[in-house]
Amino acid sequence: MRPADPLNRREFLRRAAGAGLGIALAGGLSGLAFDPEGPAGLPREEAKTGLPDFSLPGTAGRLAIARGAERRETLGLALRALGGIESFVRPGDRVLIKVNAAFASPPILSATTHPDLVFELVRLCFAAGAAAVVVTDNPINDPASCFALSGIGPAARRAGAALVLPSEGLFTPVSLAGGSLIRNWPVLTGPLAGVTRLIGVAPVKDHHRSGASMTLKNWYGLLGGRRNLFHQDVHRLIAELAVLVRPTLVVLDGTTAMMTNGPTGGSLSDLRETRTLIAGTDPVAVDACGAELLGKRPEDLPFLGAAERAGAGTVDFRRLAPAEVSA
Amino acid sequence: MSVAVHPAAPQRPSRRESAIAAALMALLALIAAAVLREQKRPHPAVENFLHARGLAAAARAPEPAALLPPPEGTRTLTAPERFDRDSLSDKIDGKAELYLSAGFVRLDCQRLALEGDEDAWIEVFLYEMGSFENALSVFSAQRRPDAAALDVAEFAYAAENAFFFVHGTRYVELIASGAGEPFTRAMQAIARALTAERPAGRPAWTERELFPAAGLIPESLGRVAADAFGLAGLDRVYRATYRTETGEAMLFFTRRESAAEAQALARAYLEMLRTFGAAIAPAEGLEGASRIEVLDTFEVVFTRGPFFAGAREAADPRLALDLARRLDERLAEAGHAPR
Repeated sequence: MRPADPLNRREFLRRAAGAGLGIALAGGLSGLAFDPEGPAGLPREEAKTGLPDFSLPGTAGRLAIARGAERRETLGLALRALGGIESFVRPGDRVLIKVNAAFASPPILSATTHPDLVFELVRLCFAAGAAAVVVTDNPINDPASCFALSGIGPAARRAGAALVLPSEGLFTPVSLAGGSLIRNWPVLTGPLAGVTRLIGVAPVKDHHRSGASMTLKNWYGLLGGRRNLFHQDVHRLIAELAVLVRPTLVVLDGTTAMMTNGPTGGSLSDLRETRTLIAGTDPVAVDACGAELLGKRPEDLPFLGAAERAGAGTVDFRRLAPAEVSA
Repeated sequence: MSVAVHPAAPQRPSRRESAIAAALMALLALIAAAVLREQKRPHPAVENFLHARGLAAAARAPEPAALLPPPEGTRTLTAPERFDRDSLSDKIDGKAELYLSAGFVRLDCQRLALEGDEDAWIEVFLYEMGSFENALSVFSAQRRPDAAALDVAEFAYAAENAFFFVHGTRYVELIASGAGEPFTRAMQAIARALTAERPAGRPAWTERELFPAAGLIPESLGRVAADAFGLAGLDRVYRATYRTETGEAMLFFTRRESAAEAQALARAYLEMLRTFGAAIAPAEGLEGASRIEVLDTFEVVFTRGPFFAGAREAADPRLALDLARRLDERLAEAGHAPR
């Protein structure tokens, strides 16, 4: 080993001063960049793990496909094929209907749940003896405008349902056990308080990011915060939502499907009369069936396979022997 | 600590010391690069927390003034809204990426109601795209087939309930809550007001001159901003469809920074098609070009100078070759001779 270089006093002082200056500079810059508070996050409230399971024992794997142009009629047909609304809503139940009211757009664009369907579903719930029916969503656009201009708000009220618009106090942080995206994330849980049945109702739409927006993507409307960040990993997110939310029933409206330029559409030429309404207790199967209305196969929509692998349902909807009825 | 002090001048560090020092500096640089990279993609929850603190809210775009005075027969229904790159998805959700990848700057929108009917309204969407080319990209990406012609702009069409057009650097959508004559009349009035308020003239779009004229379907002219034909990195692609006696096919080209870049892109394109099982061979009759057979269609692609170009989606290989040769001639005439 080479002996240490000789060092004179001047050189020693020069090097010591240089080193000291470097340390002071680095420390000073670090001090300027230091945020003593850090991200505040969502303090004071512990994240809940999961959501209540609203699925009913004995109803698993029920699926009905009703064909016709009139929504109220096909909804009735599909529900009868599933054993009647009474199989899902019993006297005294408090029902939450999660619609897709994402956009402040008119019903003719089919970008949102059709008001006729909302009205009929609320009516049927009350007819089955529901003590209360609540309709909610956390829309993409301004909530009041969305519910008003989509026609969902007036239809829900006309049928006697209460409308719950999202507000800050209705969100609580929720984590999905084993989830990689839904972790300590604000979820619209307020309207779920006291609810005994959960029904999702969504239109069939093309979607620029996920390929399709149907009943599983509809649960995205329960998320708060900057949820658009999830679009970077949208298939995984939808699969996690499929595990997080276990509904009593889902209704997929493919009376008119948005074939292109989704999820907003905008032109009537984006739509096709597919005259089909699908209802069931397995949202993965319902969406797999709905994908055909968009001319897609389940493998074209990776969230379906991911949801199935996560145990949220089956992609092979035909295995459930769906009841097929026509108006 | 004791320090040996000698009057002799300090010696230069040995090679070994210099090498160790350089390695340490390189390691520090790598760590810094990794830290910077990770900071660019935090877990969504972190950004959400920052948003909750109001930091993101503070950066939101300010509300705009009214988009336009309501034309005759209409009145303002809702206040104007403005969305920027951070907030665009608050308005159009999953479709935001289409605009963001094409250079989106901001969206201004507002609803106007038809006089005398509360439920009859039109929403005006003004997408500022930063350039005519960007506006053309989003226009052509969403163009509805079999749409009716519209004379408010060179690139424009009408659907039963909506108008879509490019005006200067803006992509404009007028979307009505219904269909029928009163809506159409009001949308025409709004379109006229918008174009009169900010005359744009004919866009200086030199790329269109590079397409051969014969057989071109004018309304098919378009631009793909990013990931054209499924290939990442294939951006700024101009395309047009041709109708001939033997069928229809598409011509496309993209101008790169150099001939070498165009050639690299062509190689990447061929490689991608090869993974889909394409049969690729030299195209006889066009020097240096490749003839591709994939999914029962034929393509001929080539490079000329900084251009990567070709013909696609032809049912007949002779049609693909004929169109590709015509495009190659146009590129040569335009002064891009070296291959």
